[in-house]
Amino acid sequence: MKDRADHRYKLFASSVGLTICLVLFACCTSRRSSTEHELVIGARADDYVVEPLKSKLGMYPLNAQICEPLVRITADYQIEPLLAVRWEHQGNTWRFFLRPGVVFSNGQPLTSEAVRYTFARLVKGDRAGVYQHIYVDENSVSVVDDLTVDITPARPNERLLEQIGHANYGIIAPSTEPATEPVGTGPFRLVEYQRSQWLKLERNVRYWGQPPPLSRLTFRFLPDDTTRVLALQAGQVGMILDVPREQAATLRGHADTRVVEAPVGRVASIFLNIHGQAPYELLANRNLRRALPLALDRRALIEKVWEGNGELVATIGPRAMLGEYGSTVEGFPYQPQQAAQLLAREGWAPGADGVRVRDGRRLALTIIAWPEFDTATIEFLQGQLATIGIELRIMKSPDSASYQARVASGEFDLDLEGTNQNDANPIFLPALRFYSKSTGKSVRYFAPGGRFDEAIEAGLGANERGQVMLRSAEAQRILVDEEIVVIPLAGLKRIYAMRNEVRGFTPHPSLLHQRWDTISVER
Amino acid sequence: MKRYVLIRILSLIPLWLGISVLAFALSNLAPGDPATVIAHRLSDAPPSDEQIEAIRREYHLDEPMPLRYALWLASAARGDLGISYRTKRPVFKELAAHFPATLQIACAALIIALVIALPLGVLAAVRRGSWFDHAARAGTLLGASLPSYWLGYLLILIFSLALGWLPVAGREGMSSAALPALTLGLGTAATLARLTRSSLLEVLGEDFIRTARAKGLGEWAIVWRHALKSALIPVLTATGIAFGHLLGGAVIVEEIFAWPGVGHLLMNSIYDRDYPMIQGFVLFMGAVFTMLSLITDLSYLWIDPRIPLAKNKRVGR
Repeated sequence: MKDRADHRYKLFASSVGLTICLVLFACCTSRRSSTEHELVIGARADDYVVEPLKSKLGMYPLNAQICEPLVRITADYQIEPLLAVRWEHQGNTWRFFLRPGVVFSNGQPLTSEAVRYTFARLVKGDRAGVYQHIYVDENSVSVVDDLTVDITPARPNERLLEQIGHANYGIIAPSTEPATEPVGTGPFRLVEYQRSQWLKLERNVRYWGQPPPLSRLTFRFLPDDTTRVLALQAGQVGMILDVPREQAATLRGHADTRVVEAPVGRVASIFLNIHGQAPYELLANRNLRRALPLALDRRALIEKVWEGNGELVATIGPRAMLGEYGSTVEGFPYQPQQAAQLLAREGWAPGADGVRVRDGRRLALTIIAWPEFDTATIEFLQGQLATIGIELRIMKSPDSASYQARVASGEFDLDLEGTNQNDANPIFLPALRFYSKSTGKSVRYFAPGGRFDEAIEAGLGANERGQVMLRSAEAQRILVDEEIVVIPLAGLKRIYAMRNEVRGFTPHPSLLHQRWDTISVER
Repeated sequence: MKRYVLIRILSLIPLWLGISVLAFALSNLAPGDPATVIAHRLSDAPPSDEQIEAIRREYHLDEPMPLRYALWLASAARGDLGISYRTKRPVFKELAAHFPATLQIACAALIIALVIALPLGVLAAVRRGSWFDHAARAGTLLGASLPSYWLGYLLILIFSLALGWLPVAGREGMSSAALPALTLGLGTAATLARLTRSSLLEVLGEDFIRTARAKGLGEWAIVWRHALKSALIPVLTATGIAFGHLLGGAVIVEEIFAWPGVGHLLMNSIYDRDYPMIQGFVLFMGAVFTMLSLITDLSYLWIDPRIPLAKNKRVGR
């Protein structure tokens, strides 16, 4: 018995020794180096939906330029031809003339049938039988001839052209399913997708336009912000997306990397719950609402908390969306004394601890925030409101699901959000978030109704882009200056960082429209 | 012996039932509505009440919770852990696809831990009170106290940035496993080294060791042939538990190193309130952990057959 135990003991000890050798061997294996004309980009978490009929692989939220829509949205949110060389608009029908000689990466020619197939798939994948965002149903797309296609939305939609530049409307080859392999006409074609690891692309040799300088492009998913920065510094990736602003300054100091900021495509705003139930009903009072933006020093927020990575804005979308009409929305100056006077006029008197009180009730507001906003930002707002006697209670959500649940419940006074402009429709954001007839669940807490709704309806029905901008500016003036339903804090700049060898990168305000086909690597 | 093993296996059933109740209750009671999350993920715009309700019906989230639990448990008993809300693939297949990656770094981490911990613990015990012992104790205290995310970044700075030997993140090639395994292994090594030292010191003070010394046996022969065997029993228990922790608790390390294991899968599932995946993960890892615990217990008999099966018997040496 003793010998057997000894033998087993020796066996155990020798197996530990053997494994040492294996570990040393594994650790000594050198890493692969990238070849020329190849770029690896470190992206955030992999958020692609890959279910059949719903798949947005390679399109949304990270557009890898595998598929192309009919039109392109430029950096100043203008429309330019892409797969459609021109278009006509009559009544509720849009006629698109397709670019001749275009083939998909699998060799199929681009015809009107591909457009019909793409939209039919979107409709089939939508539960309501209508692709609600653009009001297209199964009968909306009709083939006129091989290179001419009509789109007639199920209900009048003057904004269709501005909407279909979104990456979700990338045209796919008939009879293919993007859940398994997206086949498009774009400058790149898919080579390999490993969920949560990478999306590997190569140059589409059948591309109709200028061939991209890169022969291979890989998006590597690195969800941790710090790891992404370290991967760039170590040279494992040549470029990274979504650089955390606190790390941007560090990267700027490195000689072999550079930092590039995109123009503002996203705005951080505080949404005010004006239809809340007690105890979240305080902001039904307009004077109380008016006091809030007066107490917020937004310039200090940008400079001191966001380290300069922001831009003062008065509207909820990028400046380019309103053109010359943008200046009609004034916003509020930083005047805390006036804010305090407004509160005093409403009967809120300073209490013993500095927080104002009226009829025994403390002036306390609850704020929720999209998880992306850091605690420092919210605590800054808390400090600013404290100076005029408002107690801000922070209800931090650990993830988007708990945040969405909180928004849906209406149990908040203030909601800190970031609004993205991903299409070229100037009235998209105010209509989506504040129009009382919008289908969005959270609209009920923010919709001012009345003249705001009239402005939105006029904008949605206008067929001239300038008119839409005018109506959108009018709607936003009501939101920001009159009803104070939203307080735009600052335009957020998306930050990219890359090694010096990476050339030809021009940032777009929207990541969804970022072009990778202009980038080259010079060694 | 057979009866003992059978009783131990049967005792796992109520344990697994308890785990299943906890897994189901905790995921379902957490704030956040999976129907809303799914609707947001599938829609370009904030979803309407109708869209959310349609999804709730489609995923049977409108059924009472006890009924959903009973249905899930019945399926799980047949080996079917359900379909992931997020990926629409069977949960078991998803776990099976991600588990090898976790197993790879957990095994490597355990090996690293043992390779460091055993010699360190033994030497520290044998040279008790020496500078080596003090240094080893300080080192292991530091190792056990370091948060894994901090250690992970530190190792990246050294091995990827300064030396350029290893990739920062991702799973491509054998070398990519080194840093996550080292991050996990160093913390575990510290704990095991401390345990090895204290356990060996306890054994070295026992009568049979004094007898061996009196017979004139050399110090290393005493340690290697007599003391270590007994001292390793608690270390083995701790190793089994540590391996369970490495398999189920590598979440942060997998996030830092973008390692596509079950921890990474769990994080995404929690964000998306993917109930079937969370429940499946907890049940699966619970089963793995309890099985590891059983194997550890049974391995005592393999290493030292003199260990009694019942509590009232004493170890005879």
